[in-house]
Amino acid sequence: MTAEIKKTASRFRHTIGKYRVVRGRQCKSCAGCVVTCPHGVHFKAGARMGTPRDYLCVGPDICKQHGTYCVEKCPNAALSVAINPQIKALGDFRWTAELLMSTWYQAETGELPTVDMEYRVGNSGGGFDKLRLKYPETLPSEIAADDIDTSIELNKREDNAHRITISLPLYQGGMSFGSVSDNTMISRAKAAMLWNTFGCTGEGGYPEFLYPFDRHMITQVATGLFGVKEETVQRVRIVEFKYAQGAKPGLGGHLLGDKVTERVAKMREAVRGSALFSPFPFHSVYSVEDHKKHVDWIKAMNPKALVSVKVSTPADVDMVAIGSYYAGAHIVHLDGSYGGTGAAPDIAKKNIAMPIEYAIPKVHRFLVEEGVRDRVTLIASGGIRTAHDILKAIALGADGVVEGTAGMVALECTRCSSCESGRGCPRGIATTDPELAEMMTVEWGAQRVYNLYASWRKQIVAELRKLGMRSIRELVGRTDCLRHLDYN
Amino acid sequence: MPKKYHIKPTPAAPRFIPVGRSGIIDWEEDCLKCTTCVKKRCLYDVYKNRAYDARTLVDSIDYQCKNCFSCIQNCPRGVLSKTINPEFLRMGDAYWKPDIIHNTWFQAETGRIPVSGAGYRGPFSGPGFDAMWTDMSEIVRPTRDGIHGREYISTAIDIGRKQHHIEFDASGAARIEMPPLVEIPLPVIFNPLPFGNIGISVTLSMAAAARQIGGLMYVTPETYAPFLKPFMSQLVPLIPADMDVNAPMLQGVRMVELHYAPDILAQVQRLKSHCSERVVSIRVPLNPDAKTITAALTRGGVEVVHLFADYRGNEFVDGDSPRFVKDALRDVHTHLVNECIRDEVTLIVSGGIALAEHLPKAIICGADGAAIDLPLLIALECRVCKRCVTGKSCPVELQNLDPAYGAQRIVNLMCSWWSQLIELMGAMGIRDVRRVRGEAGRAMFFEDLERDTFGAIFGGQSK
Amino acid sequence: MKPQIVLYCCTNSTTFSGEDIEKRIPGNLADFKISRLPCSGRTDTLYMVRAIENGADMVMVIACPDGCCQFLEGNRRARMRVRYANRLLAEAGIGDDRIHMVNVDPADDQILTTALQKIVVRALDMGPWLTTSS
Repeated sequence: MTAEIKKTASRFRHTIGKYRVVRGRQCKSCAGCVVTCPHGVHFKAGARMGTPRDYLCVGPDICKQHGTYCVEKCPNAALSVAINPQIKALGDFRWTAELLMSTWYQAETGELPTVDMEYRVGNSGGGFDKLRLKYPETLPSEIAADDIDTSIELNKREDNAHRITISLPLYQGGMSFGSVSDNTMISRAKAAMLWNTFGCTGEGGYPEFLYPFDRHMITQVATGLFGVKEETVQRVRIVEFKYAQGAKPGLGGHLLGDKVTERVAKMREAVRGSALFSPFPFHSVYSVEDHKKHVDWIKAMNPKALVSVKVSTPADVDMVAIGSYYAGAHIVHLDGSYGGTGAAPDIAKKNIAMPIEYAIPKVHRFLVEEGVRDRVTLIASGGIRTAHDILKAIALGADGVVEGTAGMVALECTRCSSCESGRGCPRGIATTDPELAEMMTVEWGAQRVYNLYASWRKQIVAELRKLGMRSIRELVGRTDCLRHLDYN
Repeated sequence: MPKKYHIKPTPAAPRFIPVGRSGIIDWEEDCLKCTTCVKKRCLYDVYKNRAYDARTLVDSIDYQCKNCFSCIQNCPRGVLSKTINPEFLRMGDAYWKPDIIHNTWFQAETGRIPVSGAGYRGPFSGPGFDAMWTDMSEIVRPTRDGIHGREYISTAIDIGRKQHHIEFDASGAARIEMPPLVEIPLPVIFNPLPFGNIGISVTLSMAAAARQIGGLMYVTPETYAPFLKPFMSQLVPLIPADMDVNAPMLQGVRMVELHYAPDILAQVQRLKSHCSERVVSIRVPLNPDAKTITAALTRGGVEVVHLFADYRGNEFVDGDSPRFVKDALRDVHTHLVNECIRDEVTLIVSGGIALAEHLPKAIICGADGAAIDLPLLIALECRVCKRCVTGKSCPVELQNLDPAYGAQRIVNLMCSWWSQLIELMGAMGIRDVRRVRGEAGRAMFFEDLERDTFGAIFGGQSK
Repeated sequence: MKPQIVLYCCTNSTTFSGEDIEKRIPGNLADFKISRLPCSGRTDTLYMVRAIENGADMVMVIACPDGCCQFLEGNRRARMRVRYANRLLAEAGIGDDRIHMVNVDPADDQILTTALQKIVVRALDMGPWLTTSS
């Protein structure tokens, strides 16, 4: 696979679209509509007409303007078009149906959808969904798209550790071995490698099939220390301490016994069939000094590794961030409360810890006041859904973001949230069931994630040009480039 | 060490097919009869298990479908489609939303904490309890590992008057008499139901559940009947202030509650002089006067004040903008703290407590414990259709409920709430629910965060 | 005993959701049960037959005007199914007019009221099927 956008259609026969196009029995297969429609909705399948690809339909209004409305042109009045009522059942406040559909479209084509859909914000009524980018009043001087830099530097301490520049202001969130299929893990890792950024093993160990991506992997050291070995710590250039995760801040994990298969048990150095607890917190860390001991422990094993500290967003998140910095962390990764990909108690996702939109400026400001902001990389996650969310997070004060759910949506996750029910993910993404995992190939998955990132990068470049900036690094903390719909 | 408190859930499947969110539509006449039909490949077998209850006109597929869209996207002729079930959207009202009802049914059926993947799905914040988040502890403060039972987290509270200090006489004996306390292992009391098809079976279900979880339940003179005799130590009679002290419903109870009236202290005196071992509580409506009334009652020696809002959590005021229970309660609590009398009285709050998270949030806002009502009825499969209010028949035939089954549904719900309370307390790093009371520092309020973050950045007043 | 009538009601193009049924059919002549559906095309033949089997005397499907279905063809399909269900009932000797259907018109609310009145009258005419079929 080469690093280029390739059209990668859905694995399913029908993609859900904004409009519903129905071909009635009156159709005489004259194929006139194939000529009429410039969007490829209608096509001939053998002697008959295929079921319309209605997700490509841009709707009656636009087509009437351009004289390409198939319903009016059909000689047999066999066609009808309407808003698809199915989308009422799709999506939620954070990921609306239009956000899901436009993300699928970007993963398929690497482009923004041609159909009129809101691809930038959801409908949560706060945070990113109430923020908009604000452009300079005087038009900035023209900057060529090729001159715009979207890369960020991950080691700002300028110590002996690796210097790592990633080409996008994002890397991937950890998803453990056993929580998603092997193909999902490899697909994501491959896309990360092609974009010169990083994937993450999660806390379930470092499976061999990820070894080819060593240079682009982060390995996680979490409270259960599952699968953490000297050897795995030495494989990678970045080691991430997971103190907490936004989806279940302050809570440990519990892998049910029947999910601990032979493979999972081996990877986690545990016994098959016995439930595994990830405690909370690290029972060896109750102070910044303890935390420093942890960081030193990693540095003793792998002196050149960057250390990332993934924390949740409590009220004193600024203190936690500065403590992490003084303990020697290169990256402080804030995981806000509304994200997460794996199964978590609803009560925790909704109620514990603050949304990332509040945590970023709080920590950024504090690190600036303490005079260390230039020496630490601040990464945000937990509800980053779109390219515009990335830009907003950076303008609020982050250097970059971590993506999780959006990459799953690129693999055609509908966010049905049934990851834990029965055999696992009905769409073959978050499953260890071999039959379900076969629903997806690595080639397909990697290309879909690659395409999504490509589309995001194009949007980031376009927005930076409008802002008159040559580099994403110029946007960090520029809250003057934002406006909030609730404030004048 | 005392025995650890535990609630044991036992699955209790619904008697009627529950109303589901999904609305599958099937153009069966166009079906190609594929040998590998998408219906057969449904991971959850919703088509295989499809049943139609022609009495209640409910299709099981709407409840079982997990909304994965796989069948819809894979059927060769696109025969299947789906949208939202209008009957689902009609359930409940603006406060008791369909999602709350659904969530409660799940817990009553399984006793388990609702868990889902792929992040949070709701709005950023919202009115009432949704405008606050609880805190968690990171690195520099200890968190508690309570949910897996590795650290014991106590959810017990003591209801009654607390002594400010103890005095001893020259011989070293306590000079003051210790007032009675009723300890309950979960800070929840069952409130009288605001409406519902309430007969013997519902009342018995509640009483039996209260006994199983070691809790208390209010009972009014209208609902009290001799069949409740075996449950006397669970009952808290909610009575008019001048009730005869020898009435049968007062015999053997540990606590009684009186409706507030101006001369209430004299009536409390009357009851206490008859039986000093019984805790006496006063039920006070939440309104702008509640804080001065509560302070006066506390100074008058009252042991417990039960502040009640309406069943949607609004205080009782004329006008359009009643305060929500969380704000009205914080006001009362803060007033008592400022008057240095908060610790002497127990505050129970009720009204609008709908979800497990509302319990710790109400306690953070200043209550010692909460009384709940509608969630109990919903646990018994109530759809909050309120047909009973106009005398119509109950779609889930609550009059025919088996009390043992009903009790199990309520116990399951309480088990789930208990687990969730421990989850939130563990994250907060607090091991005793008594210490959660008034701990606003372990919570974050929307108005504060918004002001400190976006207010500071974007300046000016929010629109 | 009053006739039992089941209404399958598409909630999409009509504001009728059952609350005002007593105003439309005064006199409390029948017991109505209402099932609100996302589309009249959701009414399976089986639904209607099972409703009759479970003691309903009459069934009525309330659908959008022709050409207004949000699923584009749900009301047409519902009509076919009503016809088929009536045929099944006729074969079973229960009668071929137990299941009615009406396409409401947002501009003319009277159409729905008239249809409801008609089905009540018809139900009273025919009497319960359990006795007629024996």
